[in-house]
Amino acid sequence: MLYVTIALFALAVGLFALHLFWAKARGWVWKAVAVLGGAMLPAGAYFGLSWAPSEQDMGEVYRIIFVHVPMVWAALLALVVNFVASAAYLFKRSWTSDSLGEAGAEVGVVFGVVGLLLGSIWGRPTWGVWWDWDPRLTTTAIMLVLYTGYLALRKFVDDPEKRATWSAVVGVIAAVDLPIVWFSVRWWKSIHQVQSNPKTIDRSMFVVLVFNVVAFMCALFVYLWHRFLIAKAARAREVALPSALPPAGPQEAA
Amino acid sequence: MTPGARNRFILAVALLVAAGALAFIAFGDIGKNLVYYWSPSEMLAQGERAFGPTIRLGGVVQPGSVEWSAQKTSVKFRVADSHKSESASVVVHCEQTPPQMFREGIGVVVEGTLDKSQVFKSKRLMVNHSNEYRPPKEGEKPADWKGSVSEAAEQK
Amino acid sequence: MSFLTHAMLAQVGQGRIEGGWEYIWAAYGLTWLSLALYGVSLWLRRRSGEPPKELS
Repeated sequence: MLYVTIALFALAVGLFALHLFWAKARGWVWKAVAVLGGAMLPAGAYFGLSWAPSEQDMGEVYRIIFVHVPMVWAALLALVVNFVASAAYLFKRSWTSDSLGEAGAEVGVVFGVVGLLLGSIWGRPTWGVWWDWDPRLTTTAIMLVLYTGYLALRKFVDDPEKRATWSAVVGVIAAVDLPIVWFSVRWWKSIHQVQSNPKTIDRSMFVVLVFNVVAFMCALFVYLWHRFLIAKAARAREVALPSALPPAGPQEAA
Repeated sequence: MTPGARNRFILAVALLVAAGALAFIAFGDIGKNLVYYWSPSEMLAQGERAFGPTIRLGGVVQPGSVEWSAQKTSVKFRVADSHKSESASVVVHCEQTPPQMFREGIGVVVEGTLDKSQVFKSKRLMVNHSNEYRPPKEGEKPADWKGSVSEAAEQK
Repeated sequence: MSFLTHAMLAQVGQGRIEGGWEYIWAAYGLTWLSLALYGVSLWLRRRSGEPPKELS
């Protein structure tokens, strides 16, 4: 099981890299990732619900970790993509990075909202409450508000170039909250536990967690790619006239 | 300034603002002003200032201190800084039915008020799980099993 | 867990969460539903216009 998981992890990372560095493969890589993720998600649910042992304190309820953690990690990763794309747009204007920023923010908010709800469902039987204003939960709520604001800003600005610039600035600033969310459980006292690591999770549970993380990363990849294509197509329609944005690159200084 | 240069300037400013804000939050004193909960010793150190306002108190349920009311509708226990028997502790009277994981030695956060008799009255009790996940060990004596659970809670 | 453990822990609360499958099913159901719905939303929005042109 461990070696299979490592192999699948390597396969997924290899496909992501192939997509990233070999433009010609972009037509089919996402399909391979979709097949991989489509097979791994049900398998991961089976491993999480049935194969993994129960936990000494939480009994069965802990099994929510196998969806909560991958979901929130995927959200954070999508928002990191938004940050990189935002910074890249400000560094060198391109509709590609603008579209990627839009994709990252939307997918990040969707995964983040669901991940937060999953945490709430887990918190009720474990902590005894659905919600509390602890540092981790509060900073995560702030994160979702910030990126919802980012998406709203994009909706309200009609000029594609202004929209791209302004939202890129928001994307760079909002990213401050991402490390804060991650480290909040280490910096401050909270009800939310600190990150687990292989030493604090039993081997059989850790493998299932990694398996599910790989499955969710595949889903994230496919969603990001398609949301990116949608955004790119929308930009293409908006800037049908070639003069709308001076082409980036050497002629930029014109 | 060309649009490209302007955007790069904006990027530099935005990155500086972002890094500054992050450094302020990470290394500044914000943690002292925004405390999610006080430990018993921190709360006792506040003296009279701790009486009255709604606050959160966090620590471990001191072993041997749990007293249930007859119908199990309320519970009294001591919340201590740590598992050491000599560590500072506060009596908590909680009217909420505790979550299932509540037991001696586990981490808790209670929300309520401290009254002048040094009793912390609470209507909101939360159990704190550690980041440890272990399957229950087979064939172990109940006493050992309970001991290992307390150790896990101590890692908090 | 033996009867003895149960009896002992009954004095100090349950100590270990029993059951709770409704929470687990809710979490997994929500996960699957949201992944499916978002996938459908992306499908419905796919290339709502001409195919992407070569943009910089």
